[in-house]
Amino acid sequence: MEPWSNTKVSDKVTHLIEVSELKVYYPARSGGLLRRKFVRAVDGVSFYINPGEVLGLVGESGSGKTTIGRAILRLVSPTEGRILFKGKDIASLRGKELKKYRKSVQMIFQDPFESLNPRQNILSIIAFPLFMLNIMKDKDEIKKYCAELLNQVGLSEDVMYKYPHELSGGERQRVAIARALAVKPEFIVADEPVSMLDVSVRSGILNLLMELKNQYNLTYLLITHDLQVAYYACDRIAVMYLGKIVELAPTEELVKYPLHPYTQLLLSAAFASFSFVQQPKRKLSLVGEIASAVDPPKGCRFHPRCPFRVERCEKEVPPLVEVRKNHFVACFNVS
Amino acid sequence: MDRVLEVQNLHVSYFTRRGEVRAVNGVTFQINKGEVFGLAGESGCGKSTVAYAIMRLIKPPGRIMGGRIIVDGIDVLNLKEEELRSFRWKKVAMVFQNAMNCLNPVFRIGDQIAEAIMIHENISKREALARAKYLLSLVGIHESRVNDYPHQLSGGMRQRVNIAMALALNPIFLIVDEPTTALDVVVARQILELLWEMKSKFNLSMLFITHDLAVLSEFSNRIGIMYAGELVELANTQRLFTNPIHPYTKGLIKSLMGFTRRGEKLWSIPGSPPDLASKIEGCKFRARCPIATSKCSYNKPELVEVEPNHFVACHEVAL
Amino acid sequence: MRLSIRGCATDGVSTLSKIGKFDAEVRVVSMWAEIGSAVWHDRKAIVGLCILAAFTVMALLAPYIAPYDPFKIVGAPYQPPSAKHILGTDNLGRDVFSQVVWGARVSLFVGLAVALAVTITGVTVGLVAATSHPLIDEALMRLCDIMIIVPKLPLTVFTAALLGRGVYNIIIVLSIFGWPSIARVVRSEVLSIKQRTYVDAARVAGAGQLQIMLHIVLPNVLPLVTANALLAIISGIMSEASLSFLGLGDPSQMSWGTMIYFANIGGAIYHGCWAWVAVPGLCIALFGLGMHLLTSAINVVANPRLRRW
Repeated sequence: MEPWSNTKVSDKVTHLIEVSELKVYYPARSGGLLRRKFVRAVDGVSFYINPGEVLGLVGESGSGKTTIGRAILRLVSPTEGRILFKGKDIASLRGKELKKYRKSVQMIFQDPFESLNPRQNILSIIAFPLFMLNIMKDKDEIKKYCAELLNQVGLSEDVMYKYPHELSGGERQRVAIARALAVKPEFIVADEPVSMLDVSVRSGILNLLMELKNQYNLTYLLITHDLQVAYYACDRIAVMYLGKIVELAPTEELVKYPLHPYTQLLLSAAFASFSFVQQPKRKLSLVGEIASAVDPPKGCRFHPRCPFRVERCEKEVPPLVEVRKNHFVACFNVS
Repeated sequence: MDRVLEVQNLHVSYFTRRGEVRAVNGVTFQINKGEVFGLAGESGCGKSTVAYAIMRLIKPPGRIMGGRIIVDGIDVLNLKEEELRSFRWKKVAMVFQNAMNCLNPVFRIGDQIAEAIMIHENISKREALARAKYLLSLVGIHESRVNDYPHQLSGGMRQRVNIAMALALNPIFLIVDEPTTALDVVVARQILELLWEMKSKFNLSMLFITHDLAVLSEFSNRIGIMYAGELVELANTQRLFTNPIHPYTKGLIKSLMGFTRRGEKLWSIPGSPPDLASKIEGCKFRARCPIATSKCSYNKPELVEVEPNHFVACHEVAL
Repeated sequence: MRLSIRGCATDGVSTLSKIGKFDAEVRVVSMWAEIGSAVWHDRKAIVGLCILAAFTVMALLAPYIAPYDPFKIVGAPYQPPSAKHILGTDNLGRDVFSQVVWGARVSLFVGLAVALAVTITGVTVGLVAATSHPLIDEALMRLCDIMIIVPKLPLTVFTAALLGRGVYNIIIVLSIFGWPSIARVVRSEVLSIKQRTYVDAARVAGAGQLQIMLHIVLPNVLPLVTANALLAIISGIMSEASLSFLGLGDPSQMSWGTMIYFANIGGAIYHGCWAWVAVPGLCIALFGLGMHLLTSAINVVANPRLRRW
């Protein structure tokens, strides 16, 4: 039974974000004029996030996780499906309501070297959303506020007049976090916030994100390809493969009982042998690469790489079903 | 013990508008035959510069200011231009950082590998292409893709092509510079397994440069930790993880996520690396060091053997 | 200054950009200051700037530098260079040096006017093409293609002949054919900037399309546009010289181009007046050299990978 098909906008809205049967298709370059091909970046994804929660969206590049984040931020429009924020469909937001939405939902981008405009100094980068969303106008007030924000993210105030190229990767990412915080949002999408940083810098950024979450009662959608990062930061994890969610469970549960073969693969790849996380007993061979999203395999998307596939997997698409308490898997061998 | 690489007191500086940046400041280490030596450190600590120096790829405004580099008995820094050609790629080969962007986008991958072979050896294009196909199959790319262009391959496959190119002329020593940094976790694992396979198959010695100590824990025999252009600790991998001595090493290991239980706060080293353009007296790490004393401000610590095969550059620790 | 970390590893820039960390002093560097700094530190660019400054001074202070009125007959014709006439006299006995000095004024004026018109038009068209519906983009680009392909000189000759002689007609003619190349450059740069993450970040921060264009895209396009605009000046000067040489220039204005024209029809070579023939052309060439030296430094600001320090 699909846990949340036919989502209705109910009076009692408990979820902060609700994604319902989301599909995002891009027109592909290949394919002639007649047969238009599509990149099925997101192919029917549903989940919800409760206030105060951190949901992790884990998958390789090409799995569609970044696209979901961008759809939530309205940087890309869904081909089908809906995204609800506090019960309201965000596709219908216009003008003032859209600005209000932007104040509540913010994003931290993956590349700290690209997400800051090289021609603006840090002060104007952080103040930019304040101007655009008409939050503050007085210059002195803005300066003071920016100084506070910079201190909050662990940077000193003199960073304000520097330019992005004068800062290191970790510092730039902190500035990006300060910028996201400036509008006092409720929900932040963090798209691979640490994958482009040195390993020794990552823990500092993750700690910062967790502190800020507790301090300001934030809710996060953490997108990453590294299960280890999700393990430390998230309450629940959704594993994605080629545009679909293949497993969804609370973090400890997922790591202790990884049911989908792809999750097992990610586990064995993500954790070094000395880490506290126990490696899955059946070590999967790391053969093969993620297939193209233009012509995904028929049936279960993972079946070409799956060592446990049966005939059914090549024909039918396995639905996401609850197999253990709060633990959903899309695999015929498991359900 | 046979040594494939000896670096002695290497100094490399870049002369920028802001002054002399001492990227490598007196680095000394050796690599034995058949060994994988990991060089670890944060971005900007100079580890890639060491690799370029070994390959004699330092270009202005960079300059090798001093030291000796000996590869398989050859004095690299004194090689003449013509001799360099038989040295590079034949003795030492390098898999570059961000190699994905280094493949020429307008040539097919088979042709690029073949060209690399033909520059160094006098064989026909047909033979070179055949060798290219063989190399591609070695790294797990099907023959049929020999005529593909780089943009038709995924990031992981392009990295495989680069490894194939590096192995083209049977080098004895391979330098890999952050081979997995821009790759997804699963693909990164595959590349590491490929490198291990190649190492065993061709009995290569390797210099593995990365900022990720976790990768080195499973891959290297010995590890050297670099900070701000200097080597601060040098030990066997096992020993480094069970008994790290230098405060920086301790901090690095503590900040690895695998060493923290879920729910505990992750550890990070406070502060950031110093500006290499400014002259810092004494130990470069003292600003971030939990056990720094006044001695550290004016005396630069040298590498000292504190136990067999374990070298540390720290005043507070050296016996 | 956009430092691209993801460059090929064999150039020192990617390593350097990781080395560059906190500066002790806090510096406020605006884009113009950055261009200024790039120029200041590049010896070639300083040489270029000096050359351009010299010509500009010459043009501005023409009344004070030129010893004679360029149109007045002040000596015997076809005189060789002497103390009285530094570059000799032309076929009517007018001082060549004064003509060169006053000619700087006209040539530079035409160059500047054309560059201004061409830059404004080109930038507008480029921006519109890059931000409009794909069909409009296609239409504009095809128009540019046609204008670039069509042989310009015959068409300019034809249009000049149609509009008649006069400095302003020259400027109009040259402006009509000069903007497509700038439009293309601007369009491709804007398209590439639009893909950048910081544009997405601006959208997430609540900026609308127009605000993104003004605050984000335009400042990032400016260095490239500056370099192209400067080069358009020299292109304008040379085009004017070509037109004048073909007899379509304005004879009432003494520009470097009209000087060459008069030198040609006045039989300068036959009479051995090498200064009259060569000097105007040399001035144009020197001005062009200065401009290229200067813009090579500015191009580094636009494209940091060209940096060589």
